[in-house]
Amino acid sequence: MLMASGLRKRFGARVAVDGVSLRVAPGEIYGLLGPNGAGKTTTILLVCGVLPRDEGYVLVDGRDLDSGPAARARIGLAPQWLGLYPDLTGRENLEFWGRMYGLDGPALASAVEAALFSVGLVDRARDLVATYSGGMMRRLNLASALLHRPPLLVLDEPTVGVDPQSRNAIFEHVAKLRAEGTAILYTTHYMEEAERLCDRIGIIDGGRLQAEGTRRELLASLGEGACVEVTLGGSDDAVRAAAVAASLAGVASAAPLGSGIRVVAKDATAVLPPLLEVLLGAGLRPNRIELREPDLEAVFLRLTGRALRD
Amino acid sequence: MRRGLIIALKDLRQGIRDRTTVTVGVVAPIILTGIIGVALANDEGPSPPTPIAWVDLDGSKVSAALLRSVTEDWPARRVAVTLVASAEEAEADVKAGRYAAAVIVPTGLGAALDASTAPPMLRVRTGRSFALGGRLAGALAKRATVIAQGPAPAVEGRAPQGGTLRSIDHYGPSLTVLFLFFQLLGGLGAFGAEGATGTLARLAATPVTGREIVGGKLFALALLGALQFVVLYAVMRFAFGVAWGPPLLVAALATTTIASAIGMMGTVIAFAGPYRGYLLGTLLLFVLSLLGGQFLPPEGLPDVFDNLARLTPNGQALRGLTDLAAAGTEASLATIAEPLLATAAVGIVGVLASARKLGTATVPLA
Repeated sequence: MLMASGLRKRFGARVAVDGVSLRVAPGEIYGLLGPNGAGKTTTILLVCGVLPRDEGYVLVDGRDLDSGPAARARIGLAPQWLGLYPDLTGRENLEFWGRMYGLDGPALASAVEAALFSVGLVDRARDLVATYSGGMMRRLNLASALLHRPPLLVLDEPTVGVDPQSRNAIFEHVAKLRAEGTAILYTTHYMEEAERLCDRIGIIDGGRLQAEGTRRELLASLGEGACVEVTLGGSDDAVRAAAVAASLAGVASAAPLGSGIRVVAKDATAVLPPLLEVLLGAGLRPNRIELREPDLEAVFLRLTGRALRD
Repeated sequence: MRRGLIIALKDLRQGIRDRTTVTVGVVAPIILTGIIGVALANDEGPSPPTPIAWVDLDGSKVSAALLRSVTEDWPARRVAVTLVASAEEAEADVKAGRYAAAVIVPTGLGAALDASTAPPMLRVRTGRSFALGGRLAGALAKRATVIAQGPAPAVEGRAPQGGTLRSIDHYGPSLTVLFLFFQLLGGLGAFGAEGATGTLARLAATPVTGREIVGGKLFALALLGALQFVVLYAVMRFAFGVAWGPPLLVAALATTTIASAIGMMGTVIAFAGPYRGYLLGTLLLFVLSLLGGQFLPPEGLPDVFDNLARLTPNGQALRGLTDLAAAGTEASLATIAEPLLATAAVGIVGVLASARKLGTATVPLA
């Protein structure tokens, strides 16, 4: 459904997206996982034709994105920044976006009703969006991207600032759309979301796609290793501790994480005694040590040398 | 095209709901006009001194009294009068731009008034806007009546609906044009705001062209501008007694004025983008208002300002509107031919230039 190849975008001297290629099949959720500033949103803007590309091409349902507005009609975008008009009601917003995608008359009316129902906003449809809570706006944002039933849905950090109830509602809705055959490109910096929802995950950092695969494939890249999380007294200690830990033999990567560090090693159990020794030697007293199964956070750490939520 | 209309309807709905639109577009100019109207209630002339040539072919006591009244009474602070020997010389000087206007007092004026016979006609010649002639002619007729203590001599020149063109007849249309452009600039601000909130980027992700986005938004602005003009016209006409001239001609000039503003705004957005466009638009509005005579009537300033005002669409619009007011019932299309053509040309060139620029982009408003 989506094939993007060699996407490159430069803002002045800074390369925001550097040769990103990805494919999303119908009925698949592709997660683009990376920290803030990694290039996720820029990639999405390139994929949706909102920003001009410096290099690369995008095919949507076999149509070149540059061939005209028709290719963009195949995409539904729910942007991170909430593309809604606060001085219009929820219904008026949906009607406007529906019309922009060519809906009209009874088809528009039924699409709007269905969208309002699906995101649980029927009762608030006549209220100005300015009076909505953050979670309600997110749900309306999602609904407005679905009105024209696009074969490709692009969701940019759809759960940022959302309460747990709205987040679960969004998850359920996204899963339902996948089951109906919609191809979904989903960006997030929440590892849990990517693990829970996505069929395949691309890890992006510094504008480059660092790795790509299913969760299992990505975790397998760590080998048989595991993670050690060490909690220290403060974040200053964490930076020093990460540097100390990274110098140890057998440590694949180490990075500060809050007031502690996360260490990825081929054999975490074997690394634990020397790790404690060097930390204590450096005057760093661990408050807590935890051995954890590897997760996407560990994959990110291994690939980039830093934690996902730095 | 269809999507452009959808955007226009949405923007219209938002514009009408927005209290700022009503405040800035309608309430503010009405209040300002009211204040100016009260402040300048008895004023009959342009504010800064205006160079006037005076030709006294009569040499009578009446003509001397008329000149004295002009130089010492009303226009002393407002006009600088120079005596010129002949009507031909005065008219040539006006044509050359040395004087803003010439007043020619004909032979036999004093004798005719003494004998209570029909006096010959006073002539007023203007080289710039009709409005100045209207002000002078109206004021002279009024004073000649007082001096002669009898029937007023006819004055060849134009006066609005038989009266004088007051300052409010300048500032009413002036503020209308200023706030019209200001309102349209607010539309540029809305572009910037849509850029900041992200709806513009989302619009660009829909199957819409840059032409449709900009065209739709400008069309909505044009309709809001027209609505604003109608409201201001009515309030100023009926509440403040502003002389506007024939409504159809005013409507024609208002249409081309709005078109010129839209053309300029479209060009700014197309070439500078929606984000920088707002800043550029603000600067442009300020410069245009200064040059176009929105703050000071250009006929009272050195020639260069009058010529610069003619190069601005708002200056042309103001000149046309005050000329219409001055000409009153005698106004015709010829009265506003230059402002009409100039503003229409700016509008057409601006729309074509922006459409051409936007038409080449594969990404809307990139």
